[in-house]
Amino acid sequence: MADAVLATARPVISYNEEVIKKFTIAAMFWAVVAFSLGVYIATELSWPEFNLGLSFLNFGRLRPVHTSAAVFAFGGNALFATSFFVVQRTCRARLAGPDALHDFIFWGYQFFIVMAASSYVMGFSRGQEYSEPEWHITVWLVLIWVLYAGVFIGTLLKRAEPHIYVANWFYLAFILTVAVLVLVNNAAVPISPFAAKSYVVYSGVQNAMVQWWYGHNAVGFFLTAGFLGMMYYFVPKQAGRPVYSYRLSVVHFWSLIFLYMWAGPHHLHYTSLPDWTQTLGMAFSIMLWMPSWGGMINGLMTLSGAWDKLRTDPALRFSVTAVGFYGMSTFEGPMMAIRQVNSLSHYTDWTVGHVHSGALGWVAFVSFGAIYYMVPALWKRSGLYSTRLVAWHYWIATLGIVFYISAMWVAGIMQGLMWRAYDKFGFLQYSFAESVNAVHPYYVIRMLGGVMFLTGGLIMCYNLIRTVRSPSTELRAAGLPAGVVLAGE
Amino acid sequence: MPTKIEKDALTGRHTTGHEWDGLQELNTPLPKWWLYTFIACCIFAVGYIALFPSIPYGRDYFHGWLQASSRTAVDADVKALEAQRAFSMDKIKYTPIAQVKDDPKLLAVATAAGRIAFANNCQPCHGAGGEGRVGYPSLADDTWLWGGTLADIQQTITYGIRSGNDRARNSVMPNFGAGGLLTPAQIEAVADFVWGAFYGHAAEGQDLSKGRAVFAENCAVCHGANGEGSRTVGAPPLKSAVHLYGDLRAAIVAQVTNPRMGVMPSWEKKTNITGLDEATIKSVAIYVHALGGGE
Amino acid sequence: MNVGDIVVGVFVALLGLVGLVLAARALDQEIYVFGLSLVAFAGAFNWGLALKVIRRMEAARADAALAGDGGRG
Repeated sequence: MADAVLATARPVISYNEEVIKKFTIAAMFWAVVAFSLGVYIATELSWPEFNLGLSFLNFGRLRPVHTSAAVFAFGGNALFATSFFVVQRTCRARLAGPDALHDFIFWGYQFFIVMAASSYVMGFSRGQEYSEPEWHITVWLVLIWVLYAGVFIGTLLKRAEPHIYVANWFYLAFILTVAVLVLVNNAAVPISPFAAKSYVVYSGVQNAMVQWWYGHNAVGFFLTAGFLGMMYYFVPKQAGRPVYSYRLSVVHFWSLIFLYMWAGPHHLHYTSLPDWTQTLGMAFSIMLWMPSWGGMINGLMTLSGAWDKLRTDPALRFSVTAVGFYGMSTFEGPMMAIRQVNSLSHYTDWTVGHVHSGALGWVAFVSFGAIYYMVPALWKRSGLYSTRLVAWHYWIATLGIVFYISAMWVAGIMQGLMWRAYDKFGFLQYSFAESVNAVHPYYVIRMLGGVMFLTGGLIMCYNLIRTVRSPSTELRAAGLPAGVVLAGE
Repeated sequence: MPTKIEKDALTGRHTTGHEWDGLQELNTPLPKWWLYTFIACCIFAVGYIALFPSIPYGRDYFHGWLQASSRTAVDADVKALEAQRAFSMDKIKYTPIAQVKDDPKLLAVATAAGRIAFANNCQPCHGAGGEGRVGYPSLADDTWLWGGTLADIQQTITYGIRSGNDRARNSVMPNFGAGGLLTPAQIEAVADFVWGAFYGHAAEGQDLSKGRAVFAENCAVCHGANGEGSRTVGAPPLKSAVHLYGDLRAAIVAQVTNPRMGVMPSWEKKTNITGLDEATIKSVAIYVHALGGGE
Repeated sequence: MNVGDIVVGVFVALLGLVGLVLAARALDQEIYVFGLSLVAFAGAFNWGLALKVIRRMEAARADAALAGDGGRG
């Protein structure tokens, strides 16, 4: 009987939430994997004996597993989950295509992750940063990605709203650009259809340039545009306020995606890349500063009138702090792209710190905020198991990031200064090994920062599991007499 | 959905009139400071593009009003550094190495140059203080394989050991075990003898005569009748406190059976493009000589 | 069972076949492992899909039976 009542009370559109649930669980699973691996390889950097002399525990093999787990497994699953959550709700349309297809996209993406990770530990890698999978795994990823794009665009096309919400512009830019990036940078000729080894089609400095065009735009479109899409839905939702400025979102969207495309050469300052390319890379990076900050302004200013919610809603605190870290690292980025600054920062741990202030502070925090919001909504619970635990997670993770990035700033600037120091006779003041010794304490602090961030992630998992296991609050309608429709449905 | 423009009570701004899942947007104009900073960044970028090499056209590119080139700049930097070093380094190059050591001014420069060249090139094998490790000889004690005078050290660094350089120090220890020159029993016997008589681990009343005979016949020609070694052929002394491949008896058996023979690269520029120039090699020799074992 | 289930099921089965061929003719360990994993993936996915379809059909039959004897009664 209860079922019959609900049938009348059910909203007109039923969204596919099962697949979002799966992506959300996968995001948290891979988050813990990525954070744990990060802690482990940070320990190896502090005390190399921790590789136990085993090839598959070697830093060189585990490092791409860590970065791929963080960016593509944790970040990727979070983007899949939120993009499917957001696109259905803001289009008032169920995901395009059959449910079996959505399931295939989910399991196929997990298969990609597991295959890529296992190939790295077995020693198969293209050796290009963030683009390590060999050709056969790339082909698989492209297949999944094309289906993903089809489902997302299909849902946009069948929308019941007249306009496309800003979050979906960013998700769409992310999906389309990542497809282009992977296709161009991973172009390679396998030595045989039955061998994993392949040779990249570009050579020399052109290969380097294509790789960093890809690498920088992976940051720009995977880690920035995609997560800005997340921000544009979850921050106004959690704050209960309208987005600060529609015009700003239009201007910063187009300027961001236009300018990001050209900034890649700043990864290759002072190399054999021609001067003119380096100049353009730096000039576009400088212009990129304000378009990046447009997203930060829209995120932060949306809170005007709702700042008090930060006290009561720790999940919102994650989203807002994320926007703060986003602003900080998108200022740091253009600064490090200036050639003279880059001559100090390049090849040092400053770069590592910069990446992590973006990855931990922005990408992970904005995902945490979104997932804390989504889980009760998806599993039909009135709220999280414990907001106190969210607050603990927030403070432990924030402190962890501060430990991490300040240790890397100090270590990086120290390395940069030591490498360029000359004595009065014109000889190098410090050997490379001395600079390695000098940063050791900061490596240990970095590892501790990672342990704190991991601890926060585990607290979050516990909290979410307890939330899902708590009794559902959905069936409040069950006691109503037959035929009564819930208000607002 | 009907378009319905509302006024936000809090800010007084109007919305754009659209709504998605309860989300609305305000029609706030672009923040002035944001717009002006963006324009300023664009002006800076355009100026930078005008001043520096930037726009490609065909085979050439626009070189910029400053005509800057990082290749020229790095050449100038390297030349300036070479000029700064040249005064002293040229002197070191043309002064016999023993006299360099006696000239306090030159010695100071040579020590600075030698220290950093050692740390960046030699330390990975020989250790930060030249203390060595198993398989890599110590440079800080009195035991030398090929000689510990300034000239000996300079020779070793310049041409290397078994490096393939024509003037490298070369020697081969015969492959006694795998080559079938000695039986396993003989190898065990000679190991007993070396371990007992030279390493000082002889058990009370142990009969070493058999091993002694094998040693005298096969090993003494290079390592000396009393295990004192020979610098002419780089045969390490066996009766010494430090042993190149470790202090275990098993290491002796392994070495006799299938010998390891270390290789040190030659560091002269002629045969090693990442090598060191003559004055720097001299400086490293002086630095190594002063590590504690110099003769 | 609907068209979507069939199309996806057949497509994944074909991918499994590709995996089988890769594993059979693999020249290195990586392709061998990848091919076998692909077979296992396709098998597991279609197994899950079949279970889901069966469950859905049973539920539909139960609903029909319920409607047959007087509906919500």
